[in-house]
Amino acid sequence: MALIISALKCESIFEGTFICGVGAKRLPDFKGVDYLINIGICAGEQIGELYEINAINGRYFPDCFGDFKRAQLTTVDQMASKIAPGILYDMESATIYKRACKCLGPHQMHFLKVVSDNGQEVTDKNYVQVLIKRHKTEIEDYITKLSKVAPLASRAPLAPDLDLSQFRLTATMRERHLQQLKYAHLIGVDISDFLSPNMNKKECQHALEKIDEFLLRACL
Amino acid sequence: MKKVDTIYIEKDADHAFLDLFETRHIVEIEHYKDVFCRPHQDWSLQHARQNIILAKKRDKFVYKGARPCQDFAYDNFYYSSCVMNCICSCDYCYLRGMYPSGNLVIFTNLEDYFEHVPTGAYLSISYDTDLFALESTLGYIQKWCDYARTQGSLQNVTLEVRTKCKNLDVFKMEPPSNVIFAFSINPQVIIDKYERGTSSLKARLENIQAAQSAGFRTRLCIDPIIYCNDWQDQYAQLIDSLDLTRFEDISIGSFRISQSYIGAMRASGSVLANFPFKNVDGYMQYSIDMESFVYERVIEKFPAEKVFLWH
Repeated sequence: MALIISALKCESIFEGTFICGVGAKRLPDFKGVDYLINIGICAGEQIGELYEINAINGRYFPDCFGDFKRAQLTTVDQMASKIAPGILYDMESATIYKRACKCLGPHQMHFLKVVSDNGQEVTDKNYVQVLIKRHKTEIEDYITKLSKVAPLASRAPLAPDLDLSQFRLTATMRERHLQQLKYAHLIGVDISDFLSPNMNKKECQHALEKIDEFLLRACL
Repeated sequence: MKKVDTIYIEKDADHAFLDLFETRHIVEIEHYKDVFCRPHQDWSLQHARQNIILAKKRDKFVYKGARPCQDFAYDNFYYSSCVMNCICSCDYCYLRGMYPSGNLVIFTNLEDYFEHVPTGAYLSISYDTDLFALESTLGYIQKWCDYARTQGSLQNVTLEVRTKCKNLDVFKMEPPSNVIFAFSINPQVIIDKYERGTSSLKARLENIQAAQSAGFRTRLCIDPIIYCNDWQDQYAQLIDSLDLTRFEDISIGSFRISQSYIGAMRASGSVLANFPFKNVDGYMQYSIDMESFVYERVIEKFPAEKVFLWH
């Protein structure tokens, strides 16, 4: 599941965007999220430019996958009135990262920022919408790219769901068979005929050994 | 010049290393662990588009060898990690389970390592990486060999450089008497399936030939032995194709991995690691004994006392 987060409603150009408020006061539960994208405005030098953030407060380092310009960002408590060259400023990214990194990896957190000002307060909501919408296609392409990258090898299901309670397996045998199922799934072989609900534990043990032999022969 | 998407560099690291790589993005960091040890990283995804972290090593320059490492009867067996992670992508590699990140860490203060090598040490310098694959960029083997000839020689230090990659330029230097070059080989069918990014068997044999012709000390490593249906034929052919007498010694070991790494390796998407191995005393292994077969075949042509087995 993709989670798009923006601080303000006027920054949310995609349906279903979670609005977290200025300073990320409200944040959702990140469990079950494949990747999150924080889209918003920031202070910086090049007004209108879109950046992918590769460092937040010198502490958090999201992995970057886009072809956008990249920049480091500082999250501040109050609106930045002075800006340093090459640095962007916002008010929520660090909080989002800090909270989300308990559940998500750096490859699953993405921060896209459009420069709206050089350190002045922006009150015109339409101006913000126009600035971000100008990059809508690029961001959409990026989200499509992420959806291909983010369901990672490590997160992909390694074995089909199977009810093992129908077999008379001890906890150790169950663990062993689960690993056999995972491996069989990875190399594309079927081992569903080896075990039967009619087997007693001893017969199941024997069947597991037969599966090991079968998988060994099937591996290359 | 190696192309890299992003280079993270510690403020204290040698910034001249930036010139060795082509990159569009440089991020300055305080400590390499700020990037390398982030929680919930995806090893495979990062390794497929490997970024580089340039860092300064501050402590623990050498480590005592762990149990699954062969010590070749040296009492003072140590290893060091001047580079963490590898550009090769072997399916069975323990680095998948040991490191939280697939990115490559290069410590830029190699000279500081030389000051921390214990006297009389047998030191493996290419354990957690393959320095041969990086030599044209880093030149670390050359520097270690320069150390071995001078300070290392005075300290009675022996170095081992292990590789699966061809780099003939390494053997253009004068052979140091206290450096052993260890060449890992496997049948081509295993290389194709499980040792992505490494050199072909043919290239590795050319590497060995170049080393031996130039007078370097060489070790053959038939390790890890990996199962395939015709494994006996494959390993017999491999052994028969080599002139074993030209090696100083030979190490043989079937695949084994600490149970503490297997979970992360399996999660990294490694097909081989997901095989339902047997857990023997905390090490995941095949249930069949392939090591004995290879050993028997080897000692037909090579003195048994110079063959080292893991078991």
